[in-house]
Amino acid sequence: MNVRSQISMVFHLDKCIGCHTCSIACKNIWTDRRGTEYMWWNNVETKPGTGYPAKWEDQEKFKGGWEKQNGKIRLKSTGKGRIVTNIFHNPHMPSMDDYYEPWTYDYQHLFNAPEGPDQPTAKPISMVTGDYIDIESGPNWDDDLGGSPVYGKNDPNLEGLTEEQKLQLFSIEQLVFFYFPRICNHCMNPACVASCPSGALYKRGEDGIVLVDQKRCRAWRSCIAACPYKKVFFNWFTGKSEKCILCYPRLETGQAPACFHSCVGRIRYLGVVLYDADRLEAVANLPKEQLIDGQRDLILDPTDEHVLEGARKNGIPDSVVKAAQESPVYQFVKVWKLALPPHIEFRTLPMLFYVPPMAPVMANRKNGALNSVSDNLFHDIDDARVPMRFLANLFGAGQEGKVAYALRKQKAVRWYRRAVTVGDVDLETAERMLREADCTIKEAMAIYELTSLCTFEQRFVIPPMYREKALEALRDPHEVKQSAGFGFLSGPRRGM
Amino acid sequence: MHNDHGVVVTRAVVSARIPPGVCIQYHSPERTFSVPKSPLRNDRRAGGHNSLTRTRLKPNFLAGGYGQFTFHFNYWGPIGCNRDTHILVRKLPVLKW
Ligand code: SF4
Ligand code: SF4
Repeated sequence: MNVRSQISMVFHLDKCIGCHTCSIACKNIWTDRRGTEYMWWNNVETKPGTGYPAKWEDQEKFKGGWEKQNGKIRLKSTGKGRIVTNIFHNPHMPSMDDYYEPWTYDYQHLFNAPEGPDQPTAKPISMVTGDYIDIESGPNWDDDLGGSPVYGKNDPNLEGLTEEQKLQLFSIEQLVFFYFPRICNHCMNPACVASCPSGALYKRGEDGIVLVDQKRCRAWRSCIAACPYKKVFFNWFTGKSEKCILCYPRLETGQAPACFHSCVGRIRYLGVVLYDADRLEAVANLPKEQLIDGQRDLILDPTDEHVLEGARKNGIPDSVVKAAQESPVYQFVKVWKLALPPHIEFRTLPMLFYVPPMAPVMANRKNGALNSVSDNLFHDIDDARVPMRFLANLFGAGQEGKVAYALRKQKAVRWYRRAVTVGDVDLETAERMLREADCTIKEAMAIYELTSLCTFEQRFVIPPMYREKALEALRDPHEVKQSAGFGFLSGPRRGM
Repeated sequence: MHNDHGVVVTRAVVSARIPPGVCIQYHSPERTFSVPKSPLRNDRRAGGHNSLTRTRLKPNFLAGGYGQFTFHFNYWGPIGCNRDTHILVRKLPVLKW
């Protein structure tokens, strides 16, 4: 056993209100520099939708992530023999059209416009060329099902849905959508790190945060093609790749990352998990249907004696182990099995997990009404407006069972609390539901508390980071934001 | 969008959320940015979110000192549910700033 610690995350999608506060917090801190205008390290997508960059989930198009070949896994996008042929043009690299051309408005014109018969208006100008542009897309172009005949209908997760289900998903009074906030998953088996010919990307030993060394990056951009979540971006001004740094300067001073801290819906949880690095390769190689259980299995019980011993042997400080014991992520992912990895079939083993959203029921059951006194207390989960297949494609590596388990448990907890506080459901039925959903009363109360009553300290359990013991000497990234990358010793320069 | 009362030039989004024959305009941005000129207004700048509706005040709107009558005269006007009206939607033939 090779025990490692990682700062890991859970997003509770039932709580996301799609306000984009997280994206703006991130943008204001990290990507308001030249060359980063188009980057959204944190973005919030509407599902069904094609997201940002458009259709990033379609690996036929982008060739991100890993694939199994001859009993091993290999990168889809690149390999030793292919780097050279793709130097000048990688056909699977997202282009500006797949993201969007960033723009601002010519506000000066409002002050400088000559006198005329009409009031002046600030025209949109490109932040790349500085010329006037006609805006054709944006980072959140399909927000709230905007343009659904083009965007929603082309969501790759619709695969396997019946024609009837697809039709329902986009017809008035039956449609539904939910929000899907995304950051870098700081994967256990990051494709971006594996793809870099210069070895510029690395996963920090002490907390698993995946970073791009701005000094070593040589603009190969292999990482951009390799990341199946399209969460590495190329800075066209410095000529270096950049990505979400999980606000490590904030974490090192005990603060939650900005998107977590500012989250209005309080959907975000952050905590340490311990995992076994020895079995990582074998798990990444498992058949698709075993990946979720395999990854859960890699996550170790932080109270187990053997694990504690292994942690000590690997030099993981006691305070980090203590944080792992209090980790909300451990509860959601491993104990309650409520949180699921997004598209684990890409085999990067993402360390950001999602609690799938509950949805309204279909309004068009037989005879126009739902039979709510059915013996099957969970019928509305199978009849939910978001088809189970859709959620399974997104969070279950295609398996509906994993998603159904999480939704049934969530529903049982709600009904149990309803029985306790409102009293219009009898306690006996509620307890039967808990049993059927594989949940005890104690667990239900714990889920309820961490979901609804959680304090800041319960949501973000941040261990001391011991940076004084780490190798790199860092400069304060807030101080050198315009000239350097993220706290590296000298400013990034374009070229080799 | 236009009717016998005014013109608004704005970006349109087609969505499964909005039934055919219906348009919804949120409380909208000011004309100070990204609003082109409209041929329906003899190439003058198109209007804003108040252009298509008339201000018909009922006396009981004035009761209670609510925000819409106390902040700025731009805010004078009936609330959303009293602002439904008939409009025509056309694609802008040429973009003129
Ligand atoms: S999400 Fe992408 S960028 Fe982040 S660690 Fe995984 S592969 Fe790398
Ligand atoms: S701030 Fe929180 S609630 Fe708002 S969009 Fe972001 S993740 Fe969702």
